[in-house]
Amino acid sequence: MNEILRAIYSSIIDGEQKVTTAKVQEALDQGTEPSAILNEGMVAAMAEVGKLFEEGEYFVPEMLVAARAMQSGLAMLKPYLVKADVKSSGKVVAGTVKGDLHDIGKNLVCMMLEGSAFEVIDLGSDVDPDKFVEAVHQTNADIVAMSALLTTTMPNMKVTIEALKAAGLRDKVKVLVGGAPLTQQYANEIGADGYAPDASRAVATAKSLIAA
Amino acid sequence: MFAAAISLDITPEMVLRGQGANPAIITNRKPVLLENAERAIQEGMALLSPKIIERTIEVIKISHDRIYLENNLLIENRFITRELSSAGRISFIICTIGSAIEEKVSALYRSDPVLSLAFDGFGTAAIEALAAFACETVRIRAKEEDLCISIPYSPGMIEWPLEKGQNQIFSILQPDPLVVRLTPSFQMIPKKSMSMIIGIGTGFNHNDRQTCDFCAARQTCRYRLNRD
Repeated sequence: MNEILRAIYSSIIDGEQKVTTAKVQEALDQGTEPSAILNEGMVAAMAEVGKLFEEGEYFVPEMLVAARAMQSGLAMLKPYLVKADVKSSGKVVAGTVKGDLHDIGKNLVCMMLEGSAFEVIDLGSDVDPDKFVEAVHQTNADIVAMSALLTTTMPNMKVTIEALKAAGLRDKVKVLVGGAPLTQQYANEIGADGYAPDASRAVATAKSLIAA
Repeated sequence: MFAAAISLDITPEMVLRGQGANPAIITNRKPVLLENAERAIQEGMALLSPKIIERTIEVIKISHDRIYLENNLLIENRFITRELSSAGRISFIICTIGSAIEEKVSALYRSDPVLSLAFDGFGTAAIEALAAFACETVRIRAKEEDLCISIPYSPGMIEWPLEKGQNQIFSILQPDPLVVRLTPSFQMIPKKSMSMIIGIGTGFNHNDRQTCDFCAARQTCRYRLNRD
């Protein structure tokens, strides 16, 4: 990794938003490939942030600070990525399921996915199964990511999966689930393709689902 | 309902813990997060509308899975019955800080998610402080009669299903829906609200149990790790 990419990488891990945007601009001015800035500098940094979180070294607000720095850099980089026809890691429709108003965890997952170059369509909280179906249909998403924080609302994940089946979309989209009361076993029972216990592992699981 | 004279003392450390962070570590590593916590306190205090709805009810009889209360009220749950088997009275409590903080959190999320999380952490710290204030009020009243109190138990704990517990507490307290209400999935609105019951009697020993011991997320909860 060259010096400028290393500077971008470090600024994101440290959550230094202004440094990130300055260094991304500097890298572009130097003629660095947008894809290299994205993948070697930014996505690699967010992967490291996720790893630090999984290890218990980083805390939730630090992940957000890093994701904010990443997003600032990404906003600057986006026109160049479009011009260079650099593809996203995949398209994710995300939301907290019907009846559940919690959104902090889902928001964190969305930010981490964006930090890993996924295109995220955030449907918000209390999302009706039909709204998930409509969004998948309209966006041709690769993944539906659902969150639930309550035992009383997590059955709506299965309802949503059934709605995707009924709409003939289930084979076209992977389903990723997460949230405090969920387990891998529950994810298996409802027919989800992936389960993640936290935002960092949601990214890793999303990547593996895309690769599968 | 006692709403008057509730003074909540919220520190930046509490706000950082409310975000799932260890204050001792993060304060040095990311000073901006401490600044955000201080700002959330400064701006957030005026947005609090703390209210505690409480009612203490005499226990008439206890079976293996039911607590019969005065006025033909009933708690039906084996776990709660076991935990409160030495209660002579039970205090039912709902606390809320109102909805202004969560509105602030939502409004900030798109423009500044980091500050938004700080306000959410402030809300978490505030509702926890309010619940602690409510528990302490019940404890002081009990102590005047040489009684002690149990730890608080909340619906959603491992052996007390959310839907059953919330229905029991809300049917007994019947709070004004403009203050706090339940959604069809038994979530409280405002979100920064807590419901709980506390046993009052003799023989409760706080040394052998903590509320977190009965939480479904006790193995993975970072909030708990950073509080311990």
